[in-house]
Amino acid sequence: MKQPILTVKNLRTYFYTEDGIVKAVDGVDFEVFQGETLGIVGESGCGKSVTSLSILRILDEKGKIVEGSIIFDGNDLTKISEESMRKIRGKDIAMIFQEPMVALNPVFTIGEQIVEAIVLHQKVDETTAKKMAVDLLRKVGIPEPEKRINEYPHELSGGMRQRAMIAMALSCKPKILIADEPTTALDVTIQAQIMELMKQLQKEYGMAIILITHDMGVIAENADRVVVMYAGKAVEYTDVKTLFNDPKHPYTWGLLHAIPRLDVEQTRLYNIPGIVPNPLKFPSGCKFHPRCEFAQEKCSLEEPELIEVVNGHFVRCFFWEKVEQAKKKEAGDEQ
Amino acid sequence: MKPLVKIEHLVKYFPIRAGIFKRIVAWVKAVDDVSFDIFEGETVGLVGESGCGKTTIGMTLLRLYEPTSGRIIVADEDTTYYFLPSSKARSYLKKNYVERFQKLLKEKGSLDSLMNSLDGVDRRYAQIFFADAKGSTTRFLSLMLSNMDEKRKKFRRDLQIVFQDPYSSLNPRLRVKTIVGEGPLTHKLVKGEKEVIEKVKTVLEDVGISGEYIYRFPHEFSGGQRQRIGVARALALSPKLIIADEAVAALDVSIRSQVINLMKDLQKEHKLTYLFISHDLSVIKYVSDRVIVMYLGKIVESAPKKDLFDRPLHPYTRALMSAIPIPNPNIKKERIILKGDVPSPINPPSGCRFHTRCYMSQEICANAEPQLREVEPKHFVACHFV
Repeated sequence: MKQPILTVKNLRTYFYTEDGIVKAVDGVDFEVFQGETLGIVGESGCGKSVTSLSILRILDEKGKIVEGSIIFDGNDLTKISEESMRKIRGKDIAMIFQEPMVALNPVFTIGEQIVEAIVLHQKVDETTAKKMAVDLLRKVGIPEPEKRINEYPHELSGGMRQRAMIAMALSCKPKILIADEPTTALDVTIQAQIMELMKQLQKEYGMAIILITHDMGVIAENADRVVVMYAGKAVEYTDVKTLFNDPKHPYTWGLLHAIPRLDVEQTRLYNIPGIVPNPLKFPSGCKFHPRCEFAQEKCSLEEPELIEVVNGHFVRCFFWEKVEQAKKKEAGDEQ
Repeated sequence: MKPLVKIEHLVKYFPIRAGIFKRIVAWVKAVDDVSFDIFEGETVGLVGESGCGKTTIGMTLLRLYEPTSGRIIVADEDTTYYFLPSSKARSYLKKNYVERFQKLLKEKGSLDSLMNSLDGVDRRYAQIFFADAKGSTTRFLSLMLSNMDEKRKKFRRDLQIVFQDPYSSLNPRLRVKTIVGEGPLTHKLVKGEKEVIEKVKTVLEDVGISGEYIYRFPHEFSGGQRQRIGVARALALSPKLIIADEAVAALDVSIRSQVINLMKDLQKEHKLTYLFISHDLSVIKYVSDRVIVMYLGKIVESAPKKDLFDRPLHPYTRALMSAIPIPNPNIKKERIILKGDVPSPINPPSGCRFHTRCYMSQEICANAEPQLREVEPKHFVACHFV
């Protein structure tokens, strides 16, 4: 059996705001293996970003990890000191963000920002660090890296900024790269470039990637295993093929039918009724039950656990077998 | 079928000013000679990446921008001069109609053959010029420039828009009743408080929002509901054309499908015509009857939906399609990765604007600009090698 390099168990991160407790992450479990990509997918407010911020412990002061463990390299990241955490951040676990323009500091050149990261974590002087930075920029496909290294973030295009950020994240050869919606702000042709680059770098460095996105297409093409999140909870967790070929949670099933697709002819998109719930007023029982077409009385009273229904396929639903029936009916209709 | 909207050789340049005298130092060529028709009852999908000019077309069509040149014909009326100051409107009409007609008359020799050589709006205006105005420029101009207020109002009623961001496109200080009811009241489609309330309730229920909510403010609704209110606001004027500019881009997946389905249902019920502007080819494929693909201010390909998606011909369309991630891990497709970024529209590349990133480009592409030509019935492509 392969050993995971990161194990997240029953993670709960709450924000104590003036309006009440926001249970942003409320029960998430997954494992990350070396060289693999774990996808976290869900709609806005489902807690996918807060999950990644919790792993790096970069929550704002209102946010607290209240339960669960994040085991990395034998240490529980929720328990270690801030000082040890600082050594892991950026070195062993690096992160890239959705908006490179916001994530990069506008008053420093990209070279200065990459050199800072290298000097901080590795025992090299600035000249060597600068050489390393140029190599990194070349590696991520930035043309004329010797010139570009002295440019400010605003002088680069969106795609180039994202490349620069990847270069910075890779500067210390991290074991895990967390990519939070890395291509959402980019055009599709640029998105294709960046995803291709990340795949190629993953092979080269053998690092694991945690890919956070709302785009089912990006997940299908890039992830090895997938966590589907809804209202702070992991509702389904399995390998990517099983998830798309055989979704078992009503939410995943609905979501896959609600997206317009290039590869299938669709007469009508599936409607998941209602709205994404407000995190201050999550419904009782199963958080998805008010929008679920398979919901029964039990769903509004009791909260389902994330259980392994088939080998390696985890689902948080009392009535996942009903989705099976719906799938059979659908297959019948098609024939 | 008659076209509802005809866009002819539309050009929109934005000046870039610099220095203390704010001299114009360069032009952003946002839309550069674009022509297409929108037929009644259809949905035209306008797709392209950021900076391709798709939003500028929508804004210019609505006359939130004045076109630099070109003609915009809506329901057989040339609307290009509607919002120009009267001196400019006069010179536009003189140049585009009076002088043209006079020149044509000389060429053709007789009024009959001149009339036969024209169609649509040109023919109608020629009739006005030669018959109603008896060939007098002054009379023609005063005929064309009469009732401008009414014409403008009709134009504003016929064309409506749904914006991308449901948060910034609704005035936070106004109640839904005012947001949706303001239009019908201004255009005198309803009279008095009772009729306004009646109207707003009907339209809200059309878009799936309870009529009880008419006294609420925008912040009391979710993003999806706000976008429905945006649709209701457009719908309240019974427009001929609704321009949906990235109308579902800001919405979550599960909400997006609700709004797309709603817009499709409304189209059937109210016989609406849509110009659907989006960067998302999957959404465009689902909603459109006909698709126009743009790159850097130019149309590169346009075709009925099925033809375009079954047989994309322009290298850019193919690259764009291959770049869309498919939510099916069983499909491994060939991906065309384009080099570099979209060039700046200030100094677009010479010849074919796509040649700098194109995997098929040859010497000719940098020198000669390919024209949009019909390579298959109704399938237009601008490429030297198709």
